[in-house]
Amino acid sequence: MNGDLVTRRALRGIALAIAVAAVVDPAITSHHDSRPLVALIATPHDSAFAARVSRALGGSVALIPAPFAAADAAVLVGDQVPRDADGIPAPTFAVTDDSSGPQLRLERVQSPQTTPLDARTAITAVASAVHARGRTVEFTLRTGDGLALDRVTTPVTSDSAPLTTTLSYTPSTTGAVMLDVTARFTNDGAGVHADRAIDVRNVPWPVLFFDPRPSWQSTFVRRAVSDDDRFVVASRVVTSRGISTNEGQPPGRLDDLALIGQYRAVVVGAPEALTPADVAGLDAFMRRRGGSVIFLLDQYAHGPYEGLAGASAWSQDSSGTAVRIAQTAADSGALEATQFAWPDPLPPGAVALATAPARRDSTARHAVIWQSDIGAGRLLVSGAFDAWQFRDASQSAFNAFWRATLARMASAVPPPVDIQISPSVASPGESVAVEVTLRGAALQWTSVAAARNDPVHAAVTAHLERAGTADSAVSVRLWPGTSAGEFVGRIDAPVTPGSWRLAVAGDGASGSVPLIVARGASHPAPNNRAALAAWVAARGGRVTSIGQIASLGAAIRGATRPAGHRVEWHPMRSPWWILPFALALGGEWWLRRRRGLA
Amino acid sequence: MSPDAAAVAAFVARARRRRARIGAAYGVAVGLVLAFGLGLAGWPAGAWPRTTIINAVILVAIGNVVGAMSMILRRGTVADIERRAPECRNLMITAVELTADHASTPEAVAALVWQRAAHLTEQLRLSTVFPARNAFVCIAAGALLWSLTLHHPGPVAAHLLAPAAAADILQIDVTVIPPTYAGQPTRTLHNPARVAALAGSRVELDVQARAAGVTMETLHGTQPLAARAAAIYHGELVADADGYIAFQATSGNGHTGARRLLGLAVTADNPPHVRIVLPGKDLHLHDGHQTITLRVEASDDIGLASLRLKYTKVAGSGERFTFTEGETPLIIDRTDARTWTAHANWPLDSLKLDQGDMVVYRAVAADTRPGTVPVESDAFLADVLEPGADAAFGLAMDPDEARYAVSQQMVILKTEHLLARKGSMPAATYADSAADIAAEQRRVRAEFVFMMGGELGSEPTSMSELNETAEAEGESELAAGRMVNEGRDALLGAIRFMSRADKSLTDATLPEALGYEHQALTQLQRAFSHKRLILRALTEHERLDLTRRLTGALGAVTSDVLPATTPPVDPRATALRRSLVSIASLAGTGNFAADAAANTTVLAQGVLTVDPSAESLRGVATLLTDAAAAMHSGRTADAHGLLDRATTALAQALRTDLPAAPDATTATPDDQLAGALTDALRRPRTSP
Repeated sequence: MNGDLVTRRALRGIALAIAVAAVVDPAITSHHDSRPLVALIATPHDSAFAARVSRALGGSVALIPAPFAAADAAVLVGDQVPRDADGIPAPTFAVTDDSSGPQLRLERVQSPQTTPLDARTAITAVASAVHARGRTVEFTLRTGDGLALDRVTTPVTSDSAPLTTTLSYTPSTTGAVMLDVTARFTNDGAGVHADRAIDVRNVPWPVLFFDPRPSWQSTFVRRAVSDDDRFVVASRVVTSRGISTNEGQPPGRLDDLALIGQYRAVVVGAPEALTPADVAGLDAFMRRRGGSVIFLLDQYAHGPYEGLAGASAWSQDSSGTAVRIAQTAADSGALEATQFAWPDPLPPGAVALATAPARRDSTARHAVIWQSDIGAGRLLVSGAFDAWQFRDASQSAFNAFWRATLARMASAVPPPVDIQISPSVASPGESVAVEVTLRGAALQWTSVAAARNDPVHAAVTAHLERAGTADSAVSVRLWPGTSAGEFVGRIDAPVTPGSWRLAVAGDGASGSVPLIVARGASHPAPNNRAALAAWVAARGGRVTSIGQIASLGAAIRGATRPAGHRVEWHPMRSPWWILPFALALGGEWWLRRRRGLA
Repeated sequence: MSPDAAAVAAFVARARRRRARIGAAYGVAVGLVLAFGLGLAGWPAGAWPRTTIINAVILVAIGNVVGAMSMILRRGTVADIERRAPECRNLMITAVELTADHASTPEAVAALVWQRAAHLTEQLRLSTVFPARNAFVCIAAGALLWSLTLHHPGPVAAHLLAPAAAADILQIDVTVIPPTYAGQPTRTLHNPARVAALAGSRVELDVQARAAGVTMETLHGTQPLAARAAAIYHGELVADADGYIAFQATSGNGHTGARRLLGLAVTADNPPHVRIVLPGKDLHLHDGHQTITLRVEASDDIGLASLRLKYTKVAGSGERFTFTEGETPLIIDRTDARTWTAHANWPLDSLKLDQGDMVVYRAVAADTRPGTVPVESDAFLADVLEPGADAAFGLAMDPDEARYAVSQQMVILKTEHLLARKGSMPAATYADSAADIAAEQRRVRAEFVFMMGGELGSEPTSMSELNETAEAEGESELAAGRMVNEGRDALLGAIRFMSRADKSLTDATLPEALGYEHQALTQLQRAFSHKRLILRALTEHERLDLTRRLTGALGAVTSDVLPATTPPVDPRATALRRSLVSIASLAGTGNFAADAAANTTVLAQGVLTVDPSAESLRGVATLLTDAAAAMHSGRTADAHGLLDRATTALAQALRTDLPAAPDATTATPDDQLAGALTDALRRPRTSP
């Protein structure tokens, strides 16, 4: 009997407790740990490798297959340091491929940004092949249409030596051209690619020949260059006092920078006849325009020009015996001369371009043609007095040498607006770095100006437009760079594939470079494992090979320490409390009824 | 048999014969149609039209017999009658069966059936029951079709089906027949991409085409090929220069098919090469009783025909020379047909050379080519020195200068000989010989031009004027002042008279040329008398003041403004670049357009036209032609591969014409840094 009473009171108490707890509605707070959110970043070239990494990490972390700044960590697939670190969270880990099969990597593709139409352009490709000794690698240069312009096959002799080859691009038309360099093991797979844009231009280099007196040396160099349609030649030969023979519209004097600044190179015959004002003008031409000056000596005589040449002493050979003057940096033909002079010693900073053997010592050579940097420009001095008399192409490379030399000197002059973009072929939306240098402002910043603390004022406007349609231009913001006249910026490649041009105006001049947007654009993938290791280490991560990826999940969790979140719980709000409440009340009522109390 | 039964049997027999004749007629029609079908296919190839007619007769005869026999062997004539004449109501069948067996049938019934059947046969007309009209219409139609084969020789299909189908070249057979003298075998090529032939070879071309006509295009023009046999067109050409052969088929309605292009590479028959190995130099003899040991080598790419040694004895002195020509025997050793050597010991006694005389000798070789001009070796001379000449050799006449005079004298001698033989020579041969002497005159002139230091204007305006622009090419002499002496003036005069003689010889006006040659010789001898002046440079105090070279009033002197030099355009590079663009536009499409094959062939032809002799371009043209064939046959992937290879080869050919672009990696900060370093290095160092 007492038992029933206890039971009934217990049941009544339970029901009452539930009712009271429901009225009070207590809240319980708890902490929970979550899986870290990880951004998985890979290039299209590494997409298959990225899939392996994704499968291996899938359970331990939450993966987002894209750069995501709000993620807890990032995992880079491959061994490339990303071009743009924005949007990549830290800590950053990297997973590299350590498979033992043959691997081919296109480390670097080097090509000029612009090239003349009437010349063949060298495209240098550097690749590395590992675990592939004894195989051959085929390099192919293709146009955007997929047509092969050149092929070179190179054997792989070691795993460490880079494979360097030069492909020739032969322009067929002007304008922006997309080139694709492919390297692949012969008869094996699609290989690796890198795309480059090259701007083919048919704008000849303006060159001025200025002879203060008639000079056969200058005359025949001019004839050699005039026959080359890469140049447009103007000349002035002073034949007597106040009398000259002019070709084109040459300036009357050299001391006016505005007049000679329009030329890329100034060739001076008989420089000993130059006046001090002329020499000062040429000095300004080199220092403030980055221009190229060539002195063609046909005799040794003192004059103001010696101040530019910078030679302290000269020696001569007038024995009358023809001597071959060989180029130092090329295996092409040599010049010949019977009379020549050379600086003894070579001026500081000067580089010999062509040398003649010394008569007394066959192992020694004299720098007969040499070059020196002056400011941002360059001066070339030829001491081969009578090389013009040896012009037979079968014996002497007179014409070829001077054409190539003038082309090199003229092309080395920086344009008024120098624009560099990287990469020149980009995928839609890819980040492209822009660097602009205004020549006038950059060369205005001299040591004298720096000492006086003179400011350099420069401004640029830039816009990106679709080739041929200026109405679709989009402004591009550029910021001052690290030196005077330098501006930098970054743009996202347009989403519409095609040929675009980045046009920049400033300092009274303008220029443009092509930007080709193509889906799946490829870039060289240099071996940057050391840089990658340093980079990820600086961002709190480490490099892991695919064979050790099992430990990566734990490493990410350890490095990220994902913050737990607080959860507030109201247990009495559950509808299931009705059931024990009803059971308790029902049981208590049933016990009382059985006792006849209800 | 009752009369009625006999009448029925006779009617059935007539019907059977008529049926056989109609069957034979249909057989004839079928035979004619078959003959037409074979004509379409161009079979059999043979002499037209006899073959065609015999072919038709045979087929018609076979058709006739087969058609008749098929009807004869085919039973059921009576059933056919019943089918064609429903009013018989099986009466004819019953009557015929009763005729065959009526034993079980009552006689009266059989007689009644025969009677009614006989009555029925009287009412039926066999021409109605078995009409022959359709058979004859078929024969007429067949005959009409077959007659078409009589109107067109060759493949009837080419004429009848070509308007509906595109013209197409099926096969090209090339037969290269080298010239007889070469002794080379005839070569037959089947669908070649290029044809290589010795110059002068006859090239026979047999083109099998599904077309109404085929034209052949070469560098010399376009000409139609002659239809030879069924679907075969024939043409010939003589291989004289590198080029191409393009074939174009044309259908009956004027539509043209794909072009086929063959590169034509012609190997020239080079002239023989001959040289005197021994003594191989000029000899200066003390007397004319010596013996010269000779050794001569000659070679030719095809074969040598003769090798001789000719000489000219020059006797006399001063300006009076006597020339005597002759030949001395050689002992020839033939290594093979192409390489000969010869030797001889040549005693000079027979020439009776006196002191001061000389003999000029050269080897002359000819190859087997008909009409070839013999090739002469370098001429050497052997002169008998004057007494004491060797003792004062430095004062002797320079042998080279003597040879110059002799050379001009030789031109005069040859001109005189030719003039003397003019009456006995055909005009063309006379003109050719005059042209040969003109060439020799130009060689002599060239020696003096070379001696003067450069080229002179070929058309001097005046004997006393100098063209400054032309003369500037001899600027070294100008700088040294060698132009101002009488000896040089005389040489200039000689050169100009030689130019005029050359022009007159080229025009075959020999008397006029002879006058100029003599004047040239006079000037030459005058120049040599001033030889000390010719080769003398001015002394230092005579050096010309270049700033005072201009003449005229000083006040009239002004600056000269010349137009800017326009660089010459390289047509080869331009054409190759254009071809490269065309290939890119062709290959840029995934599927080729309908006219892509034709455009590719035209492109190949354009590439060949740029430089037919270039092996690299011939290779490109071959690849393009193969690509066109692949496009034509729908092999798109192959065509793309071939275009790809053609692009690579064409780019490689173009590359050789272009200079290397300079390395244009400019960086202003780098240049500034380099310049600043140079400035710092050149700055005088101050002691601390």
